[in-house]
Amino acid sequence: MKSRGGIARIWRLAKKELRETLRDRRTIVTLVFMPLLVYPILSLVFQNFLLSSIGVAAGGEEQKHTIVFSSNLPEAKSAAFLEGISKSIAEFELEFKEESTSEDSDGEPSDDAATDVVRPLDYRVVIAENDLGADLVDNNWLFLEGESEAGLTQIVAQGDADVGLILDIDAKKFRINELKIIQREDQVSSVASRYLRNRFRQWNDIFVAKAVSSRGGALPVAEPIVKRIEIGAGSSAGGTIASMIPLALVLMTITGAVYPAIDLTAGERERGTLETLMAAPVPRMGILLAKFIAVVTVAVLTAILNLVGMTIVMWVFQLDQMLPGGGLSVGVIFKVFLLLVLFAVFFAACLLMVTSFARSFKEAQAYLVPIILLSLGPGLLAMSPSVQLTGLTTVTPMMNLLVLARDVMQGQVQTGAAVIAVISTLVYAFVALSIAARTFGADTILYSQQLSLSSLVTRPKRVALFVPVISALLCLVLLLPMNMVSIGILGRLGKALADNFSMFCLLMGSFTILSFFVIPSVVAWMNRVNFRSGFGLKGSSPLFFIAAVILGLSLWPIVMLMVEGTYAIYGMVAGETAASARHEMLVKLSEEQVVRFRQVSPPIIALCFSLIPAFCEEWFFRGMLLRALSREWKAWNAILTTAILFGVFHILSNSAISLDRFLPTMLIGILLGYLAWKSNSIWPGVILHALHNGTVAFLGYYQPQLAELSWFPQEAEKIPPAWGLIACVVAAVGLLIVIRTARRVEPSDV
Amino acid sequence: MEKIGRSPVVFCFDSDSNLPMPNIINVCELTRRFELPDRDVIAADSISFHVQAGEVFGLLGPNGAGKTTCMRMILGLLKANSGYAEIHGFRSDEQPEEVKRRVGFVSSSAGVYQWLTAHEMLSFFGDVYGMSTAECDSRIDELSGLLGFQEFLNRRCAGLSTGEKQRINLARAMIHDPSVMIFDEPTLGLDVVGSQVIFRHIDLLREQGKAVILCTHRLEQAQRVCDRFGLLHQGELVLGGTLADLQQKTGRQDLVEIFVDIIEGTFVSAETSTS
Repeated sequence: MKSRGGIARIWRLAKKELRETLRDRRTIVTLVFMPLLVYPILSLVFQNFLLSSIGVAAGGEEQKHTIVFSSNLPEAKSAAFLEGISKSIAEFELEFKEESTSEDSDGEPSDDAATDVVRPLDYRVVIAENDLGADLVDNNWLFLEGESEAGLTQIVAQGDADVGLILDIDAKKFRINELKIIQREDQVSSVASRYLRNRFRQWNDIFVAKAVSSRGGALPVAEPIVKRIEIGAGSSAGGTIASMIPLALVLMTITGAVYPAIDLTAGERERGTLETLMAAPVPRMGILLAKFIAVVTVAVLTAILNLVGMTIVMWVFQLDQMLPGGGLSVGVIFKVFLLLVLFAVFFAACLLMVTSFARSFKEAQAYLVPIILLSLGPGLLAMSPSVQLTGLTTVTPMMNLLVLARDVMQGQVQTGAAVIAVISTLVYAFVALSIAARTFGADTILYSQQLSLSSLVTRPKRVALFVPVISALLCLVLLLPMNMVSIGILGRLGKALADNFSMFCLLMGSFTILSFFVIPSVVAWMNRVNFRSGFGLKGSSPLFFIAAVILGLSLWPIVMLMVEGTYAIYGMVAGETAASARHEMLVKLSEEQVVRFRQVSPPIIALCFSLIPAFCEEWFFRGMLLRALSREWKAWNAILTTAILFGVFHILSNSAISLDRFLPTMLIGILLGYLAWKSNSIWPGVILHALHNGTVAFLGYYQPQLAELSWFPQEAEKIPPAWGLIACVVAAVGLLIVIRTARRVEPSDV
Repeated sequence: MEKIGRSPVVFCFDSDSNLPMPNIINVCELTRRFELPDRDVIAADSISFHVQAGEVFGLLGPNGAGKTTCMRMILGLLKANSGYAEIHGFRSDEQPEEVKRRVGFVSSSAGVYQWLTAHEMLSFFGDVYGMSTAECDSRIDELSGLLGFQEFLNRRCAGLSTGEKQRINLARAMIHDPSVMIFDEPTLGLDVVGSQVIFRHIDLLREQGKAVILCTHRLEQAQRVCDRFGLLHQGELVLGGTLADLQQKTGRQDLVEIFVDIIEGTFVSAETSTS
């Protein structure tokens, strides 16, 4: 069957799945009718409920504003001055209104007119406890004596007040020499600002009117200076839209994907068509991929229709103009669409993973409902404006994409965090799909009655030689957030432990042990795996150990040159200035670390930077993961996958430095994987890993001393390329030994 | 692209007689255990039999005897704990795709794609078996004439009756003209006429020289249509041979009587004492 092409075949399989799904009435309902209904309703809700509560609806100026202000005069005098203005406006308006009503003579009750006008500047200092009974029209004036402009700016930026006001009052001339209004770029603040400006302008108008009638002179209020503060997502209505829209889109995409995912897996099993398909000569993985493509396609179709619906509705209701980034451009819509595709890939994989477990439609629904509810959690969390795309958020599935989409709509994306969010989502999708491939159509699930989610938590009765792939992948899924949490904790404690860096190192070591040793060991124990075979703890040919020593000591110049090479490439891609700025930041960052690092005693360095990571990382990556994967996959696929994951974990392990280390780490991962596969043992790899880490750590540790002896370049200098050449030759010898030595195979492994 | 399912019969040499015997299906000591939380169940206990070209083998037994498990292992859908099954010399645990390519599988639980028309569904399976569109269309013509479903060829499967669906399923299993057919309760839920279509077709398959395995509870029809029998009980093949062999071994005339003996356990003890 391979002769007719894997991809073409999968595509033809997928076409059948799609045809079947798209003819289904239930798909059409979620696909077409939902976007037609949801977005108009959503926007109506938004307009009538949310916006009116923020005060954009008609009569916004009736709203009560909180105004913080300071002036060159003490509070009592400022208050008297403002009340003076207030009165003079009120008196004038009253006068003016009376004149006009008497002219009208249409008999309108005059008290009505009076209540309507006696609210010009309404200056009244309201103390927080007392404002319960205050009229809604009254504003909260909070006088902050001697507060600087910066202080007021901060208060306004934080949203504690709607607008800030700085007055330079000349009480004798009854004049404001300078008037500065501080406002945010959102509706609430703009309205408050406009209110103030109108009121002060009114005073000027009154003065002009009076001056015209009686005397000349300068205008009493200087032209207001308005200072606008740019703020993040904030509490603005635009920010709310920017985070609500992605959530709505994502939820709709979920709705689109759920039904085909259930129908094409559990539904097919229930209808008995899955077995007939399994009885045909198509690889199981091919069938699953076809279904995956079909689910993703339907989800993306849903996403497109929803995106179109949303765009039209936002345009019609002019909601797009409220976005802080300056409206919806084609570019933004396209980026949001790409994120939706990524989300569809991720969620389709997750759905298939779950529905592959289920034997019937109902069972699949029962599994999915809690998962969808669970995914609402991060979705709603992402609505909070304070959530930024940093740290744990970047790897929290669903939440990372939602926050990223919000940032895209607001036109403020951080590339590094975005890349991590995208990569981690792809990793999750890959893992989910691998698990789905294990369970989809597996005979245990196709036929057995006592299946199988429970088999993940109950220990089997028989001893296994290897960790099942599904458990190894489960372990991976556990490790990713675990790793992020420990980095977060270390980051927090980093400042507290600045004086005691040894403690920090030991803590880091313990986290490594917990993540890469304890968790995999528990998972292996749960599966009743024989540790000697499951983790490759048996010895191997001495030749592999010799090769490991050679490689462990010779790789560091190559790695260092590679990191430098990455800078050069980064420079070419991002431009010289960006590259040098980044380089400076990295140097500064590592300099601080290096100074503290050199205060730690050598044994702790050896333990925490060489022995613990070497042993624990080999334990998980080359021990558990590689050995589990290579049981099921071709050896090189398993080695490459493990190496990529090894690289990814090293990107995630630190904030800034490590992105440049992905390539070298992945290559070392390939080498370690190959060594472990060839020797059928993790020990040569542990030696290589420990020697390499140790060399790098101690070269950094003793660099000043070595440089003094002119054995090693100074801090700022680069490694001589000749060293790289020598290292390559030596490493090649080591590699050759590995290649030439026969693979060690246990009888039980075959 | 090799011609699927139209490959000539491979003759296997019987090691005892050295005579060419067209054993197309060869089942050898197939064993399968299911692990339940509280106990292990042996669904198939070293089952061995073989089927030649132009022969219909009836695998009979009460519910839960292990017939379906056995069929699934022969097809490579289910892994055996030990033993193996061969189709045309391909072992189903080693080359499941080669095996699946040569087998048509009809089961009572087999369903149809309700949103596709019968023609679309058959074309899809033709494609899955690697047939070209032209090949597939002429085969669909042939089968629709043979099984009489021209009039609902372009109707969506959701609207078909049980009997019509089963006819489509039969056509689906034979779309690639396999040399081996496996029927697992093909007449479950069918009326007399529907069953008649199936059994008449099995007769036809024998004439065409196919090797057929039939699992069924319709013992009268089985007695008529099958050349040889294997009687399964609790995962063990307790009795095998032609109807004459069975009659001789049990002293009973009718397949139904033999069957009842097996279920009630009266026969099993007799067999174990003699062997």
